[in-house]
Amino acid sequence: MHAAPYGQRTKQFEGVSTRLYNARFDANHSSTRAALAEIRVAMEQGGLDDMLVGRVEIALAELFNNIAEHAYRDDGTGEVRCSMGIRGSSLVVEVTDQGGPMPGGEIPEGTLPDLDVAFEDLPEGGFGWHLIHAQTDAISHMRLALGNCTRLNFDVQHGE
Amino acid sequence: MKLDSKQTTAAQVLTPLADRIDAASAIQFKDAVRAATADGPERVVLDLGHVRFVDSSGLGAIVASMKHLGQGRKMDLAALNPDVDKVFRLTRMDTVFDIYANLEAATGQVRP
Repeated sequence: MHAAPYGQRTKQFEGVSTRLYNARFDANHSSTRAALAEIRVAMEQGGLDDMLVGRVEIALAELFNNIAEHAYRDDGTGEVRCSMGIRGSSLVVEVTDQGGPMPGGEIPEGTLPDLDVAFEDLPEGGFGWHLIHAQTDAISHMRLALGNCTRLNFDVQHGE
Repeated sequence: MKLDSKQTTAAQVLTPLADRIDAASAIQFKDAVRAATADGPERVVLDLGHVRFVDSSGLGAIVASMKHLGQGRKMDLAALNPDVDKVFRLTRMDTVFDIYANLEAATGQVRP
């Protein structure tokens, strides 16, 4: 038995009054796109405002891409599970995978790549975790016996 | 990815006919821009008016396309929706590109 099995019902969802989304999908580009479209519809139907919907879509797109490319090393076979609900004044999202660990076992800080470089060296990547941190109000990660669980919180009342 | 291309006096205007430039379409976007700009226009305006969503892979593809043009040529951006604009601002890529509110502003500009 795993100490913290994949897909367990975790405390994140205690007290959630409105479950907006709960699904599993394959960690590849086309399934990720389809899931993001479903999540957008679920958030809009849940009455969330456009700005919050946009923030969540960017954060989850980056997280799902990271899972596919790094946790599953782009092998196209992994599965992602995503649950989303409202708890009080927060939108809470839990994303689990069965892939490899985060580098160093922790969520990357998301330092922006240096733009003060020669033209030909301008960065074409390395923005993902910075975008995730910028869009979320809180984020945490737990390494499971087999996989990862990442929790993102978004304040529903959030001014920019 | 389908790209509409038209030549104005100020620039070649490229309009991606897609609502997303993301991890799923980044390579197709780069290939399409590369093919459309092979004739060597000095200035390209990328009209993002149809694009609702750009992720970091899409952003990287736009930067790569700009770099492929080379330093003797220029890529400006126009008509970013609020979510797309936010990605450019948060990554500070708004300091690398000249960004215009709309296509008219981008192409109405007289080049020196």
